[in-house]
Amino acid sequence: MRQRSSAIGATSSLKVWFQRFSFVLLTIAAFGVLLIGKADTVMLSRLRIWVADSIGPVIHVVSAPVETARETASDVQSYFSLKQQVEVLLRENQALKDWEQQARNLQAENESLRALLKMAPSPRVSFISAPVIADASSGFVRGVIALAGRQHGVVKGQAAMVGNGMVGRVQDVGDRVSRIMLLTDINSRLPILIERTRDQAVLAGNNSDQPDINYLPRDADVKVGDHVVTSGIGGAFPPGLPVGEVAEIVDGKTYVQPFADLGRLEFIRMVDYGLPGVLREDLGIDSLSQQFAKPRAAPVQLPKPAKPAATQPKLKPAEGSNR
Amino acid sequence: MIGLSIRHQITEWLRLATPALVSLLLLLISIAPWRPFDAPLGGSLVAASIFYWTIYQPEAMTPWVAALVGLASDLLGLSPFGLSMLVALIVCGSAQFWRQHLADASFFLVWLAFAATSVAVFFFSWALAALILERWPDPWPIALQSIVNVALYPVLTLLFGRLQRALFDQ
Repeated sequence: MRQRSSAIGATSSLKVWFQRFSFVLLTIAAFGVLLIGKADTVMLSRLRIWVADSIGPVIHVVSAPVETARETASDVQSYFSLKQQVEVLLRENQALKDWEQQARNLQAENESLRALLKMAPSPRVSFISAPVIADASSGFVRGVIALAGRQHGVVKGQAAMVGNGMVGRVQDVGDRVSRIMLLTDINSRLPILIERTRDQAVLAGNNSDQPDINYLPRDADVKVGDHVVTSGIGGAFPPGLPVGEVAEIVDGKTYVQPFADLGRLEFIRMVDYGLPGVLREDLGIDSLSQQFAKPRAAPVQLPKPAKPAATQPKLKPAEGSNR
Repeated sequence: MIGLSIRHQITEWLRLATPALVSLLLLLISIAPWRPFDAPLGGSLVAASIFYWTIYQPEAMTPWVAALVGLASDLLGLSPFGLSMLVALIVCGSAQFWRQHLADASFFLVWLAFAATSVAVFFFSWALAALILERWPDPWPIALQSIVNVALYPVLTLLFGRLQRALFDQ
């Protein structure tokens, strides 16, 4: 009897020892995983998109009942306010017709001006619409997974939009799904322009619902309600895409409320503007070697520094004569 | 007779795998594109599942299972890679530490212990995320996620309790 109880005691102490050892081992492994994730981001993004690609259909199935519930709730809601909605839509329709007329006039004017200037036509814009199957957001990241991938023509770096504004950009592309980094993600940086003042700046995500504006000129006269659009700098996106409006200015920080409801995305459009932009660096193409490969750039740039040097001596005597 | 024993083995295996499967299902549900609260759920429901099953069915929710569930959350891109795995281990470790006192304790005490663990997890993950991201992330979205998580614990416990009675109390 005593032998048996000592055997049980030995087994249980072995069990406790093994469990503690497991904890230590797994914690070390987790720190190892952290370091790997920090060191090899390319491998990590491939691994993540592979996982998303593999379980994409499962996520779609799991999220289907949730989507149905949401749709039913909104159907019931809209049924009760049908009359009100019709009135609002009629008014909006009238306003949009006026805008359409203005847009047609502007388009015609634009075309004639382009013809006068002999401007090259803008690159063709192509869209890929896809349902959002997962809201891969947390306190640390802001992103969504859309059910369209490489086989549908999605390419890394494309702009992700909804009807009323920009959502983010395509971060990773799998065969069937793609991961979109939202404007609100802490790693998102978007060159923007304050529409009214034409001040250029960068919209930086901070994992909250309202990203803030960085590098705004000190004398910029930005007010709450000002519209924010893409500036096109960097070449990733064309200028003028609607982004959001200035929501509040607190302690010198300007927060922007995106036009798109980023917490409740159902469908998004991946838009290809045919602009390679900064992505060449992302893809690992050495931008320096490309610069050296183009000898034409050198003679054009050479005279530039000579200009200020030539004007400076002229200025100095002028200043001296004033005194 | 042999058929019976195979069936018995399969049901036994299923019973042991259920807590892990439930955790993974919760992970998938929490990333459904529907946000009932202002904060994204972002896999936070998993912490409640790990905590519950570690206390009441420790043989089914071992540190290895918890770490794998955390890693799954990391692979879905819900946190800096490795952070969810560490958080899962902390939650599992905390539950195991309190287990002897909590296994027969009232629900309120268990809830309190889970809330305390969530507070610790919040500070830990915020500091670690700052180290990884090399800047201080806004603490509010992370805190909100923890609050939602603690608030949903009673509802989840109810579901887990039913499942546990159906599967394990035979």
